[in-house]
Amino acid sequence: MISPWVLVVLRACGSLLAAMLVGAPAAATYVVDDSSTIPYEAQTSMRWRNTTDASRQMSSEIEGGATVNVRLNLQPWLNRNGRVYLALPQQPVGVVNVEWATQGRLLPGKLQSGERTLVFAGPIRTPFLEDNLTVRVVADGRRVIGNQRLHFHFEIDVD
Amino acid sequence: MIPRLSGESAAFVRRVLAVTLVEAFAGQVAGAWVLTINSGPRAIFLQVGNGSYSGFHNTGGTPLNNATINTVSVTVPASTVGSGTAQQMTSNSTQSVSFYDNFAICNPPSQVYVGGWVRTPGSSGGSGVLSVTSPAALTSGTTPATIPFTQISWTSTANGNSAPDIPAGTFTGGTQVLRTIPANRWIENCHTFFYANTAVVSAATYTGQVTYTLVLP
Repeated sequence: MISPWVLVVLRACGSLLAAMLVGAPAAATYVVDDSSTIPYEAQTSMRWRNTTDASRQMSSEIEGGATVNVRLNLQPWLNRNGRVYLALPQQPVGVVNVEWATQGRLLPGKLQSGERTLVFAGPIRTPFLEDNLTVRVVADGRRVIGNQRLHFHFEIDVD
Repeated sequence: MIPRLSGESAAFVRRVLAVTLVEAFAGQVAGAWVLTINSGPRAIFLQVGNGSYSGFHNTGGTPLNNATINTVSVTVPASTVGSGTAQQMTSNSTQSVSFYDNFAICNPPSQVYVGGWVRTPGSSGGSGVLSVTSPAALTSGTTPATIPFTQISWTSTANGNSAPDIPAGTFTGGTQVLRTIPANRWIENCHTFFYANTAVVSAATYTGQVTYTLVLP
């Protein structure tokens, strides 16, 4: 049995919850819409790395790079504090190491597949956050056979 | 009470659905930009004697073509022809350093650099096969006599690495496999050639050309 008072409280809580979720995203992690990134799909030719060691072993790693104009749609979190991360899921070809440089809007950094790294923290003042990323990728050349698509994404933690 | 409870429960369910839809929508809007990487290129490098590289491997150098055909030779004094005393040959090679790291690995002209590597993607990527092909005999244009190529042999060593990574041997007058070269391993040695001098031959200049081949199946 639930009294009418309880029902009123329930109704009010439900309305508030809905308003919070529809009007402004709650504190949580969200994937950021980066569909305006150019090129949205880039291809890089990999080459063998030239590292050396005393046994005259040659590196089995391959490396390549690309420049990407990242455009993040942060409209849903405008005027809130957030932390934006670049993430790369674990890859079937093993560990993929990524480093990137930026032009200042986002933070430079590096990550391994399966990780995420902070690229922005602070109040979100503009609906879009844009930067040029010079990305360098290193992978195990013994495991990369043919083309391998690396699906990067950005995600945001909002307060 | 019961009908009102039912109605409230239904309303709550509707809100839950709405929330779920918002979350799902947020997931669909987001993207994931894609960077496609390809496998490392198959590549191969073989150097016998003088070669060329753009710098050195350990500083980002890459192989260059060098069409030089080096010569090894020996002049056998008339008094020792056919004596059975092996005659060390010398070369016109000037290659002393390894393009791996600029280390002075060979001592020309007595030693001739022989080295190479293969690159191939995949964990089961094949190995390269290094072989050498020699004709049956060295010949002279002025005499019908010949010298079997089996009269020429070599030793194999290197400064800093006395192990014969490319084994010592004797030309067979055909194609012989010297060794396999696993992917991503720089193999190199310095060969010193010898003429066995076990047969008396007519005075003349005898020549022949051997060809080293590295194949990545």
